[in-house]
Amino acid sequence: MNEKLSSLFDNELESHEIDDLLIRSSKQKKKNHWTYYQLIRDVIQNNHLGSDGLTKNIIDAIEKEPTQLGGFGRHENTTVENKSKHWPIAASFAALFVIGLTALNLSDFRPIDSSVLAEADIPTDLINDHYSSASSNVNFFIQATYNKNSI
Amino acid sequence: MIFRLLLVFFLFSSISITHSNDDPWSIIDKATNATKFLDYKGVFHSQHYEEIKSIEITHATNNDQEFIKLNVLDGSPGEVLSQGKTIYVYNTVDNNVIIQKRKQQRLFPAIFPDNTEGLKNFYRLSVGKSERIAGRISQLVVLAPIDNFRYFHYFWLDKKTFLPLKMVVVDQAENIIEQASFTQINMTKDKNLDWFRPEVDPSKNYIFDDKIVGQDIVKNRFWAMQKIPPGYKEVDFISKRIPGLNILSHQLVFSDGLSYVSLFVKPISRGQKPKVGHVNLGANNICARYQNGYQIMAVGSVPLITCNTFSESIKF
Repeated sequence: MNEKLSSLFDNELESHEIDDLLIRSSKQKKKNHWTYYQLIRDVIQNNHLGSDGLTKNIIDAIEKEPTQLGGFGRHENTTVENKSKHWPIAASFAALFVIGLTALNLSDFRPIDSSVLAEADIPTDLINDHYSSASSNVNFFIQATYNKNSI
Repeated sequence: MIFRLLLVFFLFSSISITHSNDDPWSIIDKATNATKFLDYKGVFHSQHYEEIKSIEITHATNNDQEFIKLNVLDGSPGEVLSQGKTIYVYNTVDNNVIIQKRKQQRLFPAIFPDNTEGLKNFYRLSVGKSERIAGRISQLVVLAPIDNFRYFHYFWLDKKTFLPLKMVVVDQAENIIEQASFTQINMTKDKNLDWFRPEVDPSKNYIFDDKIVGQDIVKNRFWAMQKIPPGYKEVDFISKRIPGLNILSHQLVFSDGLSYVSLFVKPISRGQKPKVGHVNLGANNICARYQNGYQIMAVGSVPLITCNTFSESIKF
């Protein structure tokens, strides 16, 4: 029986044999074998893509959850839904990979040399962000400049 | 010197008002209501440190909803249109008009918080003499801090309506940090809202940005706040992406009801030297600290001790 199923996925059966096999397999509850043979066939023929849009889902999930080097907390409002039991694991590995890459661009967590704060060190964005969200002064509230990258 | 003399006078007058009025703080509640429910149009000067601008304001309440239009009259044009809880800023930058949706803020003359209970614990209220502001008789009210974590606030409230006509914020050394004062104001009765629309300049490019900064980002607090200055509470928390890197910087906003401090938490890039210490930039104090790969900066028109305490208060 299993041999016949294998032949079916390899397109090696005649029409009358296919009908016979389908009737017999449905009677014998061969669903598990059926699924395995489909999977093996796809892998051997290099057609296995995983679940629909798996890669896109992982990329979207990473995109929506920026790397947080300070620690991982529980996100209760995340809008991404689990569509497969596999991809949370894959997403975790991918996130760790992104963290690794990001960490290469960031300072160590060890104490490092620091310099004394000077007026020139204060980014304009910092002051603007403060004024646009914490000012009682109308003039500065309006003036906070537009920064396309910050949106 | 003049503020010191005024302060002595107010301390004495505060005693008399305690006897004559059960709750002297009710005058602040009346001022809060006046800023919400009165219909008026006027022009005020707004000064922050050394910069002064004239601003026109039109305010109306229609069907229990506030309509406010603010228009900067000097220099680069800028407008604010606020309806209920929706607020848009029209900011002219070169040949572009950037229209941005923002979170609502307490802007002059509506500077008092809805709940004044918090102020009572950290400011001492006293009432001063009457003065004429923008052609109207006003009552001077002083909120003097009980500690060193906030500045003195002087308010001149319209005697008839309680609307704040003038506000001056001074530090412990009596330097003026910020002030705003009406130069003309008229109460209006016309309920027509035709004025509630932006000035359109066809020669400009209009860029509409309907997204409040950081609105769609999942926020994750990985720190604890310890020993923040008394009376200050967190009023906002904004996270946004650092351009070019898929990581976040954070801004926490704290207020005691009158003063505001922003606390920025930002990862340090490799090769970038973290900053420590403090500087005074105009009316703002800025205090920097480094911890665990993060640059922490407190910014605000608050005393240096408040700024330093905030920058030291965050622990990972």
